[in-house]
Amino acid sequence: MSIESQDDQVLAQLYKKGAKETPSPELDRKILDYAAQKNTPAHGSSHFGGGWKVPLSLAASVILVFAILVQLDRSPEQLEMPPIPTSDKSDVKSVPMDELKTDDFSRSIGDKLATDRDIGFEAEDLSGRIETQAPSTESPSKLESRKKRELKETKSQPETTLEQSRQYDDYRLNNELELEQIPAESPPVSSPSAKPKASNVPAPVITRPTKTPERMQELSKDASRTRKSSTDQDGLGSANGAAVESVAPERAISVESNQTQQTQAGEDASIEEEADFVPMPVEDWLLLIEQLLARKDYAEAARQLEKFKQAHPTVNVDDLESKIP
Amino acid sequence: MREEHQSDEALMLLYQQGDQAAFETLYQRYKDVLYRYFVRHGSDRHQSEELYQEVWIKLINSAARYQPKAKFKTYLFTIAHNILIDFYRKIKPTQIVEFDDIEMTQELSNNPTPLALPEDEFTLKQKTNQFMQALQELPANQQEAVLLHFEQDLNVEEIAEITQVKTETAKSRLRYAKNKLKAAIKS
Repeated sequence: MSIESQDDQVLAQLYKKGAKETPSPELDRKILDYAAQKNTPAHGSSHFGGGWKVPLSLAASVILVFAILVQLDRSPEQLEMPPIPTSDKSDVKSVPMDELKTDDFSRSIGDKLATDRDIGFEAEDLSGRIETQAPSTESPSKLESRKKRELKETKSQPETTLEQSRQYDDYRLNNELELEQIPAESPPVSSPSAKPKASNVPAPVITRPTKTPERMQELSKDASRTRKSSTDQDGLGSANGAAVESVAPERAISVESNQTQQTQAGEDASIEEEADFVPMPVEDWLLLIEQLLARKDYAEAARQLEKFKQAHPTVNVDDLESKIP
Repeated sequence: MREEHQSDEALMLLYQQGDQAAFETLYQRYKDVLYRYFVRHGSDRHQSEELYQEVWIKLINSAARYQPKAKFKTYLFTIAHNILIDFYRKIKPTQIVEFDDIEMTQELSNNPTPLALPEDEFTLKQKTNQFMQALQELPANQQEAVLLHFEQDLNVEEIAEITQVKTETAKSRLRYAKNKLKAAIKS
């Protein structure tokens, strides 16, 4: 054993002999009581809270962010609000709400509007009665397609044609069309797709003059002649002919069909099928009469002239009248 | 009892899980040495009790976060050391003085003869009183090093860890403290 270690042993023994101090029992009890108090379940719960507080809050944040992202990932169409109807309030009030809710009814109204467009007069000419029942119930996609189609039609028509169209519409309304209220008991005539549950809504229906076979034949002839004469007179081929043609078919009164198509092709097809009275502008009409006179078809010319005079009493057609023997 | 055979670290973990008896066992093991650690340093008994109590409160409060990375003994005396340092900074800042290594080295070389415990009781008691007086007069850092060494048989590395100094520094402090104590006994 080295001297140093021997000295250490002596010093340690001396220290242990001299160090006899101990804490008082009161102090011991105080500390042990404090330890027992801190070791209660409440202490344990605070440990749990301290240990799990951060992970729990993180998990909650992740879930919340995920939920928000899922909402944002939805397509904008799903989040889009339905379009606000632009019709007058008074008109909207006139339609019972429970009927507006039904899809079938809204579809039938929409179909009816499409049919009305096909026959060539605007809904506003009917004092807004037809149109006001539909806008709030039409689906957004249908409204959009309708707007596109109307825009297309407007672009394809020259301004003069629009004016003439308006004149012709007046003529049609005054002479051939009549609006009448269908009693609630009777089934709807103009809109076969409308369900009986919607029949108690007083919807204006357009009734048309009865068409006898003779009348149909005449009108068919007129239509074909008009198209032919327009094309012949221009002599410029299909380019200008198409312009005239684009006016004439759109003025044609199409027979209401249950299967009114939304596409332009469908409309054209339905127009081709219709052999009806051919509406035309004043100039075209006068031109037609002149051509009939030139072909010495006096009977037809006289008939057209008579109709023209009825439609346009203010226009002076004495010169044409004098040509008819 | 079952707790008496457990290691300090195991007892502390048991207390962490709510075993009050484990803490009582641990307390009985360390209450005297810790108390003396402060009594030797403190100016009066009341002050020493305050510091002693503060160590145990700190240990109890941090029991939930205790991890047996080091010896419990080292952990406990590190808390005690920090509290003691705080105390000296507040109350007795002038007592913490760095000692002169050269002086201690010379003193050590002048005492080559080994120590021996006196045989008669009176002389032993006298030597013990001299030893305790010399211990009390040691600088605080040397006193701490020698107390940790004699009370708990801590080696230089453990003393360095507790007092948060380099091993060489702890070694020097311990050696110089012993030399002073030897010199006090021989005189």
